[in-house]
Amino acid sequence: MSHEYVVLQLTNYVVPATLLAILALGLNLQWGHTGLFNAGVAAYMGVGAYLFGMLTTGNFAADFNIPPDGTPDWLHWGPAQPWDLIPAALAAMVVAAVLGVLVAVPTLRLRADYLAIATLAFAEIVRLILKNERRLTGGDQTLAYIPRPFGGIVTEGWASDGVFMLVALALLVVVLYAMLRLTATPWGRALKAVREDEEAAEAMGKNAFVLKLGSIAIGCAVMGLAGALTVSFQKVAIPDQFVPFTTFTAYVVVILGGSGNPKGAVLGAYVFALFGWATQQAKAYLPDAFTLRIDFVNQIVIGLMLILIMIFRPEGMMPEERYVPRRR
Amino acid sequence: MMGLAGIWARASSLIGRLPTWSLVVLYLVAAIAWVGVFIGRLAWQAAIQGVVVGSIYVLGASGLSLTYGIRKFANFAHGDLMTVGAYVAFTLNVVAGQHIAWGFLLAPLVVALVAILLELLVFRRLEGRPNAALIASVGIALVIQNVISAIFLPDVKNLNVSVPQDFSIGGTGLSFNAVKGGLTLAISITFIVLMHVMLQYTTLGKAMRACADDIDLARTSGINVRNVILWTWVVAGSFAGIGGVMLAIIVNVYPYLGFFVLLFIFAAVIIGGIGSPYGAMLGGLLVGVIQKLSGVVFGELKIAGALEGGAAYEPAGAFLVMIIVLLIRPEGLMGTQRQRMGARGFRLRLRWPKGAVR
Repeated sequence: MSHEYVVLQLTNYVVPATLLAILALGLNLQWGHTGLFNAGVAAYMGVGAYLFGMLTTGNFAADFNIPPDGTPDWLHWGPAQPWDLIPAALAAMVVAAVLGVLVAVPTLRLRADYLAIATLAFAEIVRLILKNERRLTGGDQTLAYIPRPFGGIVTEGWASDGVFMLVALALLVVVLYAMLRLTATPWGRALKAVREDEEAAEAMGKNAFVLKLGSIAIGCAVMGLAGALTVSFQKVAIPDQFVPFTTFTAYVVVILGGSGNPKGAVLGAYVFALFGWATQQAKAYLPDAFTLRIDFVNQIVIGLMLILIMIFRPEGMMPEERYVPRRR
Repeated sequence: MMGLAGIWARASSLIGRLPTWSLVVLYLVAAIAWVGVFIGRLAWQAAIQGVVVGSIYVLGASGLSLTYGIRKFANFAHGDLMTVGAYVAFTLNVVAGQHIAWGFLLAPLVVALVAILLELLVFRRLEGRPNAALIASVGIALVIQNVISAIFLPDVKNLNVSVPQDFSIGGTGLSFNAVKGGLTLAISITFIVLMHVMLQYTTLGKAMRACADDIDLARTSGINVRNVILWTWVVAGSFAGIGGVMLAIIVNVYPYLGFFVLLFIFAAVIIGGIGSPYGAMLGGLLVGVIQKLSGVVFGELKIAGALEGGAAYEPAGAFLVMIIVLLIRPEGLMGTQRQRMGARGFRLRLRWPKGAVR
């Protein structure tokens, strides 16, 4: 076994798991800590992904039907000059957060289910726009050549994959640390108070609406970052990746790991990705008739997992740590 | 001799006395006419299609609203119950080679059975935890979609139903299909009337409304709440089954059929007022018509060069209307709860003028 093979196999598992963990950390703040059912995870991820892709490729869209004179048919709305990766990722996070707040303002004031349905509908609208407006976003499969971090220094292939894995892991550590710190602050505890009993929190002088908006903004920013990293790794943005199923995957991860515990969300992502990786590996050893259906079996198991966890162990693998005030 | 102002005063007082639902229908007709004047034949045709599609949404939405009223959670698996109905029809009609009428008979039975099983195995255990039930229903949706995909493979399939030619309505250039349009409308209207009779005049329907109002009070008044809940699932499931068969005839059969329709059904339920079956009926009609009309409008915008997507944005029109309704009348058209909305309510919620930093 050569080292190239080992690195490629390792990144095959670690990179999707790490990206899923970052996404789950964003969702965990909203669902786990604040109790908001945001069903538009895929949209915030998609917006972050496309904005990052547009900014870093610099209005160049790969055109698969290049006309004879050689100039591409259309360009997307990115800037004339490509941005650096870090400002582009920051812009993706900010725009995802702003969108999250814009959707949340009208729906947060209503019953909890309305947020779920409105965000799910919003996510579908976003996906349709990403897919159809080619002049704006580059459209389906044509926003390509998105750079990876250190793209100019590291050669393509296994080295590039390995470096990306390290960058993603470093970012995961940063986000996890930020989430652990955030949720330990008075602000983080107020979020939990809002989740447990909004009226009681209001009576104690906490502004539940503003707290929820803050949770939505920060969570959506992290989701935008996860989207940006995803397209950077793939080098191409695919709108059909941001379907509602992506949202539900993120929920499975958070609930499996333990809602309300950032470490649990990370653990959930790595366990969940192991399951997905194993089914992909199993494809090679199974008869053809079964490989056609293995993705469906995979998703049936995910669905059953959701149901069984909700019934038998709603607190997940790593339950939320109980907050016990220290004695002075 | 009454002046123009007098006529206006008369008219506005008359409008004020009309019930909400008739006003909504009036506005809808006005909207159709307005778009129709600008775009012409395409819009009128879209309105006809919209009424037909809307009548299917009505079947799904009224059942969803019924279960929401009693169980108090948004059931994300309701659309997939419709898919089950569509595949029952497909199995009977194509695999077993029977007449489609068997589908109409058996699909509601099978789907009602599935709904009862879901209640007994899953939702009953999650009583009093609406968020957990919502997430479990997402899991159920995934399981149903993928079990169907694994059995039938996710290809788009068609039923073996002979549909007569569209007949054109004399001289207007509009067309209407006797089976796809007429039969669908007739069945939907029959079932809406059935639901109305059940809710208003039968003991079961009254018990359902009582449970939706206050389940503890219903229990103490001697209503067997468990049985009422099971019957609610039977009604919702059989309506979803019928809706699924009609979707299979009008559209086609594929595993994500119901999940795609689910968003429109949710839009219908929200526009009508969540938990109110009559509101859901009105909402279904509205969503169907708006969806098809907005498809035409988006198509025109594509021709004008403003958009590239065109009719692909059809769902967006319905969702936008849903979001607008949420903004200006969050309790829905037929809902009862009143909340302070608008700019003033927003400012109150933010406590903006106090300048308190939190």
